[in-house]
Amino acid sequence: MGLKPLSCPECGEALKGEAGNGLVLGCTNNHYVGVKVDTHNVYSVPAQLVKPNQVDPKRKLVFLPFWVFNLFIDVSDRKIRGGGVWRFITGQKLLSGDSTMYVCAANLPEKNVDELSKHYSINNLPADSIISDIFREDFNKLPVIMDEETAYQHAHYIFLKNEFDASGTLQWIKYKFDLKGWRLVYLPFYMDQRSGTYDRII
Amino acid sequence: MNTESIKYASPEMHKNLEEYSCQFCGAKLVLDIYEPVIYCGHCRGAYVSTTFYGVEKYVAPAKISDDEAWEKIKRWFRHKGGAKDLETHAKLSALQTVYIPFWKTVTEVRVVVCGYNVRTDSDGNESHDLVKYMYKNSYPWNSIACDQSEYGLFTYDTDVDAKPILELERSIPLVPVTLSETDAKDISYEDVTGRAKDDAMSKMDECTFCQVFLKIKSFKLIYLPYLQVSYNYKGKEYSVVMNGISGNIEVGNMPGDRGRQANGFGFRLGAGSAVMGVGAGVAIVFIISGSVLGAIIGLIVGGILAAWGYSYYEKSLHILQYGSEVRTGDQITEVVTANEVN
Repeated sequence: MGLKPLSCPECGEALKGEAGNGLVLGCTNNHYVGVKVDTHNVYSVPAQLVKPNQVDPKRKLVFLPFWVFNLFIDVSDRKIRGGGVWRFITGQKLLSGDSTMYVCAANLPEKNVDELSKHYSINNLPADSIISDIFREDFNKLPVIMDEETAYQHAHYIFLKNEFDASGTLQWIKYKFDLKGWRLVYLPFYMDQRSGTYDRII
Repeated sequence: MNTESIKYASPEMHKNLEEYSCQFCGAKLVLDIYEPVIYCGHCRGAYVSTTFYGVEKYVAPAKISDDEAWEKIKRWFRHKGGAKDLETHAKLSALQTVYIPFWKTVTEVRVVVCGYNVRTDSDGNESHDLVKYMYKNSYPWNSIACDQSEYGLFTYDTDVDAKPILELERSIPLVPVTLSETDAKDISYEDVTGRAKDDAMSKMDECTFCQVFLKIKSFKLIYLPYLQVSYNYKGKEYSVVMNGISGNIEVGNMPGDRGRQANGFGFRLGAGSAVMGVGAGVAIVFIISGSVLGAIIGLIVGGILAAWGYSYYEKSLHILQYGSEVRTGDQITEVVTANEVN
């Protein structure tokens, strides 16, 4: 068996961590580094932290990781039979054009991952969100359990799920993702310590 | 509330890691099989394993003894077409149990499929009932992980009761893995994608859109026992490969029945050739007399009889079961024991 020590691709510092770091580690110079387990490689991860405008001190604040992809979704052909009026009335949004897709990378039940991913992909973040590009490691966060490549494939699934869930019957769709950029974003949640679920703050 | 934790490492890694220490401070490394990265217990230096990451290895013990195997093979000799005195004159030359590796995966597939069912009313008018499905399914897959032509095996369908390779109390001969983990995953993805799409499309009369998303849930290497048997019959060596769990003969050959060979060659081929000769003679007569239809019929019938006779003769030379012919006298050239497997 071979072992390969990990070092930061930005500054060359040896990476350190402990159980619970998941697939993204931080180096001592505040760079974030992703680990590809199958190819044993590392890659730089642009990371951001979204701070809540207000914090309830009685509740436990936890940050959940999301891979965020800035895309141009080119839907060259789409056929949904029926449901047009209902989609208009309920304001259901079908994704196309310039879009920002969020994929939850925390170790949550699949249903929760899909719900959160779809919610933020359709609604995105409010304009007044406080976004930090540089932040220290000392905040309560869940580990990243999905690498960026896997998350990108999952973004395709979230896009199709949104099409599928829309009113009417999807018959076919021809689309293409044009990736403009990606990053890791930590979003704030309150953890319900009794049920173990996470409630959105933003 | 968390999902079932993902395993990144195998129990073998735990054992192997005892030999390694941190390159920075010399302390012991801590391996948690649910963590993708290995850390030093002292300075927290981070490492990743570069070999067989996350693959669990299992072995299924053999259930067929050497004596039982030879008895089963002697019963198999009574197969139609084999030499009639095979059971009494065949002598066992060599018999060994080897453990052949198979990659085994379970892949979870999420499918999005749309289309329609065609409905015809009493007047013969067609209408389309639109349908859309989004669902999840699991697909198993397995494939031999070494040279399949060596053993004539491709997949296994036996129910196996396998245990982790680390629990073995004795060394056993393991055939080395030559199909890489990456290639196995690629092949399994292709196979599973095809099967998932076929299943999805079978849910409707016409499919207009189908996309599948794959996620490997389990990826294992399983060593299954097979008995390689060589036997001698009248100075020639023949081989059989037997499943060491079910006792089924997977690949094997035996000498053909000489009576059948004589029948095929002497009678059928001879008769066919004779008819061809008659046909040729008739052809000459009919050509001279101006009618070629009878000649053509004679030639065709003769040719068919001759071909049938030759085919019967060829098949009677030796009997093959399944796959390609097993080469005689094969021995494993490289054997690793369970302790040496990474």
